[in-house]
Amino acid sequence: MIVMQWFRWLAVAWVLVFAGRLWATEIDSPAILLNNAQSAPLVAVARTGQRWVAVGDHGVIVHSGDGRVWTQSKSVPVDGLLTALSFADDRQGWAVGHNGVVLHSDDGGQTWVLQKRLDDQPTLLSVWFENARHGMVVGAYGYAAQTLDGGATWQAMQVGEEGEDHHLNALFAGRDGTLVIAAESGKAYRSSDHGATWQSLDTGVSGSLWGGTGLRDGRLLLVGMSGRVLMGDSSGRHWQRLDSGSHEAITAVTQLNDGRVAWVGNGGLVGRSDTAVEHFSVEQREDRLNLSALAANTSGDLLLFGPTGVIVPDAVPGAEK
Amino acid sequence: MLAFLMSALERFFFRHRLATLGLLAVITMIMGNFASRLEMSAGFDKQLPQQHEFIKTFNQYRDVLFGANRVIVVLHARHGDIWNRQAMTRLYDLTQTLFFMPGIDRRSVTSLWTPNTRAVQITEEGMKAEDVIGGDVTVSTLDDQAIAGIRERTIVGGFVGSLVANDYSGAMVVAELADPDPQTGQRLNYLQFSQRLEDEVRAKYADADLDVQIIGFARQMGDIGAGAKSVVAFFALAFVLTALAVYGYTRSWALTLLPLLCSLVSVVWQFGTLTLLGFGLDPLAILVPFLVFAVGVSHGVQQVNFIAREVCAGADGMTAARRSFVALFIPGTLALITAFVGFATLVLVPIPMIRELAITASVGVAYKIITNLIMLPLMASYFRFDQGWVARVERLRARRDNAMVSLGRIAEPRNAVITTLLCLSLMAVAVWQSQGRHIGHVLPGAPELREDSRYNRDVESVVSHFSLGLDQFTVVVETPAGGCFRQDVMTHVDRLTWALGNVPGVLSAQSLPALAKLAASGVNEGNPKWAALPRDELSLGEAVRQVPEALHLYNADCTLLPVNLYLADHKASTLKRVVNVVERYRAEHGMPGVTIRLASGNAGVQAATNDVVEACELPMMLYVYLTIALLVLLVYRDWRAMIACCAPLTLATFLGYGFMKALDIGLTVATLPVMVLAVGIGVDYAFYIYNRLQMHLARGQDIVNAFQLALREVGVATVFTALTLSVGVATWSFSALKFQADMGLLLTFMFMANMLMATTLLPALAVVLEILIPRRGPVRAPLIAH
Repeated sequence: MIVMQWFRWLAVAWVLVFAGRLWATEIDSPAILLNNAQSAPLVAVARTGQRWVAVGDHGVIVHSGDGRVWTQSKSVPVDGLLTALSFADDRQGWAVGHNGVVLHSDDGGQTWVLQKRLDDQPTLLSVWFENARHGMVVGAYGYAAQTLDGGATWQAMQVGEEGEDHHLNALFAGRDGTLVIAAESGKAYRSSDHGATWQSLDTGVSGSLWGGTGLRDGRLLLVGMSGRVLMGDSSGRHWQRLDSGSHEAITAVTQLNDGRVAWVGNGGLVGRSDTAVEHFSVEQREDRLNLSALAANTSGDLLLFGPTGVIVPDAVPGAEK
Repeated sequence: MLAFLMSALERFFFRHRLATLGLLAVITMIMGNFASRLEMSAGFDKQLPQQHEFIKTFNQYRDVLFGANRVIVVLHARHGDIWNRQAMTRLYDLTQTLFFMPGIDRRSVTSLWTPNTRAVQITEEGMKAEDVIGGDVTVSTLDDQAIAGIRERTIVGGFVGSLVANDYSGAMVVAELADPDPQTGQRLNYLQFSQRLEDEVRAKYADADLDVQIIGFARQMGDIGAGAKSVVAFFALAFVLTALAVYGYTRSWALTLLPLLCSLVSVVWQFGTLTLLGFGLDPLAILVPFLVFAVGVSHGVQQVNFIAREVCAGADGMTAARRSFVALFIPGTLALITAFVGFATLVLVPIPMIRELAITASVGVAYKIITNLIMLPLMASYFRFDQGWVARVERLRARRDNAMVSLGRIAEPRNAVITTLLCLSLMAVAVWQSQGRHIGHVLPGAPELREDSRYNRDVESVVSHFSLGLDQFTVVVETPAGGCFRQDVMTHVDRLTWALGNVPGVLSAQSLPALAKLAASGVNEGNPKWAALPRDELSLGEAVRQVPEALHLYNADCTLLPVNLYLADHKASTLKRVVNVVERYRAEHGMPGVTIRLASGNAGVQAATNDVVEACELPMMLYVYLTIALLVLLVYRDWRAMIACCAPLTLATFLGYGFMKALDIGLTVATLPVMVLAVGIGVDYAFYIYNRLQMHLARGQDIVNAFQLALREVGVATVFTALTLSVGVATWSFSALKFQADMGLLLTFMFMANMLMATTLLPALAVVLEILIPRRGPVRAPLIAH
């Protein structure tokens, strides 16, 4: 314990001595090309055109057409943790991460450039692009910014009340173009004017919300810690708690082609709903990996993403050629 | 001049033979007294090239890095899994026993039953840690429900793969050794401790249902120590076999006794010298006394051979001994000097053990000049040989001569050309085959022990059931004080960890930043998107403090951030790949105040040894060959002799390389000296045969006859010597110690290969050279005549 105390003082001492100095010594190092990049830790996935693109730690970005064979994107100029990505169309995409990193690709995710390092290097947690010009990012301590010129310049965006500093964990669009932010401590925000103004939502919960998705019927779904699943109407005024059947944190959720919803979470959690999205079934993987993203392939099987990279569903006999 | 000196020496020694023998007996008694104090010492450090960059790092940090002094005891269910009352109770007892065992650092004992095994759950209220087996569970209250709870918390806590086998077939107790003992300050006796583990843990807790597997440095040392004791038995066995063989050759106990006794006397002197020099007898160096003994027997047999020939020709014991002394003193001395120089060149290898071996071997060989070339004929002069024995030996000789005559046909021009061509193609195959031979240890597990030893079987079982690699390679990163709290330093180490973790052959890479990132995610509600190094020092410090100290991933003042790699194997190619990546990384990514140092861990140490052994091999061989070539040239004043003597040696050496590759014997601290020494001994055969050959040539014989005469005179003795020595060292291949078995196999092969080459390629080549480039002048008699 004494050692711990000592460490704490040492840490404080270091802050006093070195604060500020280190901010200036950040050096970018490009991501290294790996033999087996699909096994690198991955935290987010997005679809563009005919391929999936996933991002993760050490600047690793991988893409795949069939979900089985993954190729590492060449020339990623940073090697930090990338947290999210969004594609405006088949070619134009943005990926964001820690230290204010905004990467841009104009070839569907195969190559990337460092487009911008946002001022004060905020920890960016989510990105969403409406089209090739207009997009926004959200992140830690209430950080939010938007661009109107495809990422060249960014303007700060006020989401919560002045002085609110909740982490803004995930940004997504509803069916009708409504934007929703899932945030820390049960907070959520909604914008019906493309991000110009935001209203705080009363979700009725206090645990952090980590993700969400707009369902095809217009309803909104929010997920988060303690296995929380909230179903809201498109206005975001009325929220109903659904029993997910698990207490593990849910990290990501997506709607499948048949209308069902699937999610993944920490501790190897994989959940699915019925087509009405009322009842859920969950399974906990034996490996208890903290899963952080998912995608459904054409045959409805789930591709999972986590600390060991892409977890491909068991091969169907004859499916491989 | 030389002849005058020889006759003076002969007169002196044989006139004062009793006084000389008496003096030698006194010396032997004094040396024997010192020799009896010689102790067996298995020095781990002596095997390391102390001046190598990696070893300096290893020595500097060996006490603070992870895993250096760990003992792992695994309770393994022979059927099913460990989630039952019997296994959990046994695990409890095992944990308790280890906890109270002297030599164990109690704070470090970790198993499912110890309170330092906690499962952390992250909830909206914060992090909640609970014991995997809480205070409410005791051995007496273990029921299915309690066990199900333990199982769940084990999984949640992430102990599958570390404390519990991936397939639940076993559970582990890990402890660190307290060495030296913090109370008494005494160093731990590893051999005793290992025996205690065997008696108080394995014997007590293993039965038909549950097996106990024990691994760790202490246990490994214990097994090597036990194996080293058997070395003495192998030496005794080799001695007996040699004695029987010499008797089979001479058919006289007196003539059997002579070479054995004289060789043994020099070994006694050598042991005495070891004690006087302050060395112990290393199991790795047990080779040396035997080699010295072998060299002695080889020269002794030549003496006995000569004496027997003289006696059969009608001389009495005294005359035969005097003639033998005169005839063999100079060639024997020259052969011994060649061996001496060969052994002495090994001093240039910067590994203490090989140096020690080189010194003792050269000293031993130097003693041979006295014991085998002076003492032996002096003793022989006292023997009387009856006519019955002479008749028996005459008949035996006739039979052996017949065999030699057929061997002698090799010198017929047609056969010589065929033999030379065959050997040339064999050479090509051997050179080609020996490409890409192994450097270092090849097989998995502790390299000193056999693959099927109990220890290595335990290692294999543990590695296959747990997410654990035993080939650990540590890269040490030295940072300014408080490096753990600087994001730039930590990012630097994280990048290195990532680069190394993706080298083929690296199973996993562990370092403080890698774990601090996971901890950062933990303090941020467990959100995977936060698994990055926080930029501000306070948050970074908070994350660092979550990483258990027991992993030794940082030291007290945060100036040391090791990167621990677990490798798939310890093959030289894997090690080299890792080393290359580290060297490239530190060349390309320098950071002021931060030093990246190679290397520690068992694999790092091996990388250093491989490095040195590989770099030394070629120069060593070149020195030895150069010495031999020069000596041959000096003695015979004929370039043909040089080629005829060195080519067979070279072919034998390359055949040896091919043999090493085929049998997965790597070039190691143990086998490098063998290859060098084998050349030094192999040249003896060439010396003895070529010497006679040239003498007969000088007397006007044609080459075919000259060789057949030479073979009749020394061929049998040469073939016999090689066979005898081979049988002796071949028994080593049954040793419990892998390096001794490797040495035995290799040495057997080298003895035989050298002998075969000296009796086939040497004459064939001499004949072919004679045909291709006929001599213009007369053949000069060798400087040494016998």
